Amino acid sequence: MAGRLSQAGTVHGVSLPGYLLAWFGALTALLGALYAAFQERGKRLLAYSSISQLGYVLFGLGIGTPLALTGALFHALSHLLFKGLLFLAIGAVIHQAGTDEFAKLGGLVRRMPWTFVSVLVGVIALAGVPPTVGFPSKWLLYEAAIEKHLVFLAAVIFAASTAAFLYAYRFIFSVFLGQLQPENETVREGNLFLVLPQLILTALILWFGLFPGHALAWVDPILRQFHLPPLAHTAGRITTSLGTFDATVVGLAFLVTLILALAVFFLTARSRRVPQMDNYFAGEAPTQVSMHYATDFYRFLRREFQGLLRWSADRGYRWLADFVSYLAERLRRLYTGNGQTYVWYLVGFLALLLIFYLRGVS
Amino acid sequence: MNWIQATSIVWVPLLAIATGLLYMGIARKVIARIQRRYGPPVYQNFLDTLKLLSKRTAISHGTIFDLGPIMALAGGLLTLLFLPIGGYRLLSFQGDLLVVLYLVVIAPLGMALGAGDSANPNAAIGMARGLTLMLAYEVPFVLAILAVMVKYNTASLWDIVQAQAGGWHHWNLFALPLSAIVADISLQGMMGKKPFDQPVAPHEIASGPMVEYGGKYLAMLQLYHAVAIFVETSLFTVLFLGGGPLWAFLLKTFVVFLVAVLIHAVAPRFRIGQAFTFYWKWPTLLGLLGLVWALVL
Repeated sequence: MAGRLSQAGTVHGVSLPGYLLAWFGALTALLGALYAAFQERGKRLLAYSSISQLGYVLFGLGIGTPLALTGALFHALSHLLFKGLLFLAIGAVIHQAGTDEFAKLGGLVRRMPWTFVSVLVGVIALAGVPPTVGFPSKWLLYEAAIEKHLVFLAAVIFAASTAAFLYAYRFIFSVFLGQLQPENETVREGNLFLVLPQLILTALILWFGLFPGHALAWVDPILRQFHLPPLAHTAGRITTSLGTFDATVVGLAFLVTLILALAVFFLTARSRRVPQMDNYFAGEAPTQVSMHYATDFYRFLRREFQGLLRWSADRGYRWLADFVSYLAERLRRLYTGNGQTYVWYLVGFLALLLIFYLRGVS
Repeated sequence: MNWIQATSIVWVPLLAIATGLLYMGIARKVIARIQRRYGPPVYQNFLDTLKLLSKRTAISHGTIFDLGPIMALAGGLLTLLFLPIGGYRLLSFQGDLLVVLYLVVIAPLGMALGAGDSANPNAAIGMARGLTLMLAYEVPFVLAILAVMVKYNTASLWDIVQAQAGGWHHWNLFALPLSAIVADISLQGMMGKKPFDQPVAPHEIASGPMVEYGGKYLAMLQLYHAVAIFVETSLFTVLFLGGGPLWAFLLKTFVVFLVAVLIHAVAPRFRIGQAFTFYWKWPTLLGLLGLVWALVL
């Protein structure tokens, strides 16, 4: 696509405008992910994460090879699925608990188990971990970048994807895990119409995660319209020039190892459930104060990025606005509201005109 | 010989657990000798794990809490199956290096979920630190492995091992020395050895994510830890030390592990912020140089 836009030079076989677009995409993905990790409300976190995820799509469109375009289109689809699911879920939380502020939530897994299950699958896809749909689409984008030897771009997009772990964990931990606040004791699971759409999307995320070929079957005709060769794939297995990813084998292998681990768990002694405040506090008596560690979760990381986070387009715009209004304030002092001052301005202006006129004559 | 190959998918995980537990025991001994103590016997970790597994009480904070160690162990074993170990391919032809890179995180993220369910703030602080550390070491590590992938134009671990066959001078350790150094520095953080053990930090946050786990839960986390040690050292061996037959492979993983332990024994702990800045500064710079090296040569 971008490859056809211009003949103005190429970088590793990618057109220069496309290459710049890919850099914009990669930096958007990284910065969006970092900002998402520093938000204090669920919906804001998801909004920044959308910015980040669309950076990946832009990255793929910029590289513009058949592999990259497949990845970009596939990632747009998987983002649709998991972000739709997560917004529905946080909507259900707001509906049932009345807020999406991390500091006021926590421990909702015991009150809203079905929403938790769908959020769990959603954030696994958001983090891009197999066997969910988030992985194959990201994987195609990485392979596209490495295939073209665009390694510095690939490194930035990898960093963005690791930063996604940070906000994905923060989202699920702050809302559903940790300490249940006393005021949320009465929260109940939403009704069928809140839960069912989430479960449908959950099933789709897992289905396309195990059989990415079914999603690629929708991408192939688009590539053919651009006269580009579609990717070699079966229902579960994708092959590129660099390597293979068999989603079904990965899914099955995970199932087997999970059964093994479950066997170890269930063959040993049964465990005893204790209340949530029965914790190790180094000898301190636990009191009913909030010990939900949710506010400013990545404080130490934010400190390291302080210098960078100071720069923002919003703040730059506000600085410009402040500067203009300061200038206007200075300018306003000319208008004293006294008629005599204005007469003197008029006299001065006429004198100036006279001087210019006389210089013009001579 | 053929049936050994055919059943490798069964015995390699068992070998990994045994090797990992033995390495952990050796590490305790080595650290003790460096600190002029006698130290426990090298098989101590086998006894510890068996004792923990047979404990009659284990407290739980909920279903997700139970799921933590289960996901950790399953994720660790899953990653192992996609590595070529000592000349055996296992499942490594079904997913390449980039797949392995994402399978590795299943275990820590699963454990993070379980630890988070316990309502103990120490666990949450430990996870926040762990994820920050992951963001820190992943960047130089990715730069190092990108150099390897670009050099051979493949992401398949099996092909990368094959390309290094035929003598030590073919190893990436000598072909891409800068990237190998960077990967080893990243490995120190990945294994959570000092100076990068902030997520656990027993004196500050009471072992972080592990704070509420005891009995069979702790035993399963020990088993996961054993597998993780084997996976991480194997990954380095495959990428930079040329794999080799099983005995050479195990020897190489042991050397990689010993280097990490020796640094661990004498290093203090960074603050987490310092660790982050460190990783995004010097190893990243070296990694970029290594990448240029791979692109130019």
